[in-house]
Amino acid sequence: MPKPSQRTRSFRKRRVTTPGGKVRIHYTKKQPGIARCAECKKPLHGVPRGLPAEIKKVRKSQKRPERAYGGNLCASCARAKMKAKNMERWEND
Amino acid sequence: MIDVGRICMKTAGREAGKFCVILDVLPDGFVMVTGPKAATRVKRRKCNIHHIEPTPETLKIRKNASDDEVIAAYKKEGLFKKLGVKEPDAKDIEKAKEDERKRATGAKAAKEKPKAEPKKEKPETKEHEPEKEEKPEPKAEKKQEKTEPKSEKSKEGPAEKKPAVKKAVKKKAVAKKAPSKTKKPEPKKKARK
Repeated sequence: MPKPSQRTRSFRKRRVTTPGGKVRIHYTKKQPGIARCAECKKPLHGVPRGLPAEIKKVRKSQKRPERAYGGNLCASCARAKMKAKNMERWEND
Repeated sequence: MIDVGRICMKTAGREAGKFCVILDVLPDGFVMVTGPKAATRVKRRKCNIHHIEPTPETLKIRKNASDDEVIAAYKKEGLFKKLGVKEPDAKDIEKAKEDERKRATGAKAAKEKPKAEPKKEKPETKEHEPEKEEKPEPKAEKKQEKTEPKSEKSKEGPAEKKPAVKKAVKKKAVAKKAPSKTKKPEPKKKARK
């Protein structure tokens, strides 16, 4: 029987064969998904993947690229967005 | 579109989304650019043309103008308000200059470190030599001092008696201490028994 706190779907079940040949189930926390670009859904570079408690210990500058839209958009999407904004800005002039 | 004095928006890197001015057009599709740093946080640097998006605004500046000249040109055109950039105070300008100085001095210090070490060794050796010269002098003085009082003591009677009194006092002190030492171990032995 697992602990009552482990009887949720947020735990991943892992089958482990013991030295005696028996199969036991280990309960481990599920890893969060990879950070993805908000527009093109490509995986983002420079964004660490880990449990929230682990990521809290990481420095802010190591959590995302220090660019506008860093950690939200990929570099190419951010550049496209910046260009579009610049074009919009000067359309009326 | 890309010429000296053109105001552009940077679209790549940590300064993406910030405005800059073209100072010089370099070969192979590169450009010299500055914010200046005091105003828009874009530092003076070489930049690829593909990482820049030009705007219709221009400044009247000469080639490779200094940051102060660029800021003055901004003020003339009234572009700080138009771009939504905060006008730099004297403090901002000083800060930007200090950062540049620190970077320049830091790089120099790192290069000069190996040169500085041998310089330190030379003064150390020089310092030692005068110390050696100084040391023998006080010793000679001390010897003279020591010899002088001895000669005085030998001449004067009371001077010889004084040390004798001191020795007696010391003997008494030893006598006082001795019993205390002997007393202490005794109870320990009793306890062991």
